[in-house]
Amino acid sequence: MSVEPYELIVGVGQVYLAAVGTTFPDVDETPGASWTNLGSTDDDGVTVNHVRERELHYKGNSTLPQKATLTEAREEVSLNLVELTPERYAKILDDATVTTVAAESGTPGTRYFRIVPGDVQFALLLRGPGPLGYDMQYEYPRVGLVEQGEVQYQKGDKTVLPVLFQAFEDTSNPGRFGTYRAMSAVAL
Amino acid sequence: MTIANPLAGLVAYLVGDTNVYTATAGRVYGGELPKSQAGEMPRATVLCALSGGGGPASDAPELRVTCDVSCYGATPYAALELYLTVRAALRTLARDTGASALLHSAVETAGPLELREPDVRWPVVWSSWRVIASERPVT
Repeated sequence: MSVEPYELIVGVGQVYLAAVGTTFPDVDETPGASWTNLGSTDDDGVTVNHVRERELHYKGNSTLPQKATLTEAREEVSLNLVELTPERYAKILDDATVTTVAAESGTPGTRYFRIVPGDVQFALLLRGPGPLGYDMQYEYPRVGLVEQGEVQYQKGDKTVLPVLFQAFEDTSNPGRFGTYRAMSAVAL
Repeated sequence: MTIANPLAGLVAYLVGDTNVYTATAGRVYGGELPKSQAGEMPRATVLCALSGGGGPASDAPELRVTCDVSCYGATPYAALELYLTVRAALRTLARDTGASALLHSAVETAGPLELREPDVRWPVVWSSWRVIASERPVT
């Protein structure tokens, strides 16, 4: 496939979560059952924030910076979920387990999860349109939830669940957060 | 430089959609209806026409066109049904190609509006879409 004109990218990304250590699918593969698709987002889509903070260094006889050194690096993925199934909601609420209760005489069937705060980690896959005519994906082997925003049930607009994932250092590859991978050709 | 025709791309995309094709028998047109169709109207027909709107001020090779999409039917209800079929096709448009044009996305900015054509009284449902397309043709 020709690269032009695909280098200009318009379109949303899909975010998937799985247990830490789950193998990432190839960029042409639909993620398997071990990956939970977080579904559609609101109008703002998915944001990947590459935070790099650097300190500028000056030498005594110059007002111009001589170099910059990295003092802090973060990778953040944020989105607002709008398709709040119990499974997605539970995943975001600290990876709670959803229990299904079948309907019986006089009692309705339910799916529930307990709201129990905790620190959980996931592997995160972000799949979206790539610059080479096919999809691309971000692979973060280890992320944590650092913000789960408020859920507002209201008359005038849809209910959204804002979340922010913080990537952690890949324990298998020190010094690395993850991988960006753009598909360039179909498999042989 | 040849610039891809976004209207031709949109028409080709809609004709290529199975549900729209089935509903219209391929009667999706750009600009205006062919004269040969006038005698057969009103029947399930889609007309796409550019209707102004602002483009980007950047140097990026993209077109942002506002497109009127008019869905005709034998009755107002049939026109609405056709609109819903067309809407489903445009809502799922993402990085699709038609007539060598790469269509990035289509977002409904106004509509649906049920009308009758002022002069001929054909039932029509109008909607307006902002389409982002690449200037560069797909080669």
